[in-house]
Amino acid sequence: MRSASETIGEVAGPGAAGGVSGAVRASLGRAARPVAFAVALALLWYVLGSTALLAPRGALPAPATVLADLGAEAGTARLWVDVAQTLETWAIGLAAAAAIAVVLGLAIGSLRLVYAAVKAPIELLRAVPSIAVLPLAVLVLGVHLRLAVVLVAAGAFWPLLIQMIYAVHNVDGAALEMGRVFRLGWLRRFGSIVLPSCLPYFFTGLRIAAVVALNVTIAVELLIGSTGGIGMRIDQLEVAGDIPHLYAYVAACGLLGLAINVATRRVERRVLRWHASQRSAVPA
Amino acid sequence: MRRRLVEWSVTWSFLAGIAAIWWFASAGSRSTYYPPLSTIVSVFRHEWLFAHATSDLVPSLYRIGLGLGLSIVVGVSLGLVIGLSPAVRTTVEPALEFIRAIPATAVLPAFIVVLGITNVSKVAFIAFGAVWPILLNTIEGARGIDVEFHDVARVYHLGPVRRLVSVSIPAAIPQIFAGLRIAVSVAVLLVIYAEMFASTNGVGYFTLNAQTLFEIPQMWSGIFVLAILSYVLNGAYAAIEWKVLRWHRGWRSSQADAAA
Repeated sequence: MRSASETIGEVAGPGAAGGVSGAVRASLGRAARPVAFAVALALLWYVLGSTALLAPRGALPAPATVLADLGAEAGTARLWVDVAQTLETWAIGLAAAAAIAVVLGLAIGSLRLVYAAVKAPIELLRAVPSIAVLPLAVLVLGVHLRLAVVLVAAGAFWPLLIQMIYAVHNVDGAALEMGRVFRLGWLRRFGSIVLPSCLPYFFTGLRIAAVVALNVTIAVELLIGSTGGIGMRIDQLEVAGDIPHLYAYVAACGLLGLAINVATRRVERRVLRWHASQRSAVPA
Repeated sequence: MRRRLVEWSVTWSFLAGIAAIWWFASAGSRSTYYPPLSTIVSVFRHEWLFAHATSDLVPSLYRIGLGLGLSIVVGVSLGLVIGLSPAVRTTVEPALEFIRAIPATAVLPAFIVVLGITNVSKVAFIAFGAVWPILLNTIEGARGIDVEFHDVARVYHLGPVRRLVSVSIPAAIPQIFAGLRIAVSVAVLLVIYAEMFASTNGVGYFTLNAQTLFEIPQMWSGIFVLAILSYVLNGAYAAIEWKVLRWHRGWRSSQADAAA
């Protein structure tokens, strides 16, 4: 039902809804409005591009051209090799950051004195974007994939660390007491009480870190230009003046970002099935 | 209060300890990439007090300020419109969801193609990246306003402007500030990146340029300035937030939670 009305909305627009019943018209309107809005944005883009009001001629190629280029690129290996390279850097950096942040976060969160000592340095260091040390990293690490991975990990590390520390501080005291009453050993208490209650915080941190990591990956690829990946391709296309393909690759970045958002949310839902935040049927 | 003092002294002695270790460990350093801290400090004083402060630090601050200002104006006004009207929300949300998913750093070349290597393109680029956390949080804040507030406003016959200024905006403000906190760090990241990518001044430009010229102590001094800049801006934000949101009970209790 819903998909059918969406198709009608796309093809014929709201005007075709003349003879249908009220309920169908309502659902048609619901589906048609977002589509109409997207079309309006594309039209605005087209007008701005073709009249050269805002930008020099050619700087805003027609949306249809960009979409066609994106479609054509999707049939070639070039786009997919770039996507794979970017995803590789992103994934290794994020995984390294997560591994280190979980261990350190659990330790810092559990030890009050350590937390007091490192609180200010953490505040200082996490405020500094990892891209700030790029000039130093280029000298020390050279322009390799390793450089990108290290900077991505450095950027993704802080949100994960902060979330893990916060998670340990928010473990339910009553649950820990209960564990003690049941005479669970330290390891059992840690494994069955502390770790599960930290998981929701970990996923919040992971979602933030995934976005940061993608931004840093592309930034390093654009700035260094020898790591491969979508960022490097965008830079080359800009230098070559191939503007329609430039936008096609930016759109591909958007699709990649969207896919990452959806994927992290899905993994979170799968892993946290048991947690209250994911059981929407039960009011909070 | 006493606990605060103890924490404060622990953290600062820790920082002072790290600085002291760095100072003495690097004292006789002949390493090209890691010059003695004393060299970095004297170069820092020479470069940044105040020759490059005006030629590079001021442009960076100017771009951050204008970019953030623009993102606040656009994000809060659009966010209120979208958040207060379910019809608008369902219409614009899918398109926004896609644009938001584009990593901001990927869009910089497009901004340069359209607006050139200018301050305008940098400011617009920073605003583009920083607007999302503000926009999304304003939408959430405006959506979550207690229905009773709207009812009371209607009972008192408040006009639409009064209702916006005295009810909707104050009720959404804690959430708006939560978005602003993220926007500040996004803006700092993006200004450094944009200045490293294509610029003729700015702290990001200075730092990467020093590295290209192999002026390593200068490069280190640039990294120091970037670190201080990031830290001070985040601190300034926290101070403003504290001033503006002190009256808000929900905000105060959330701070108490965070401190506990």
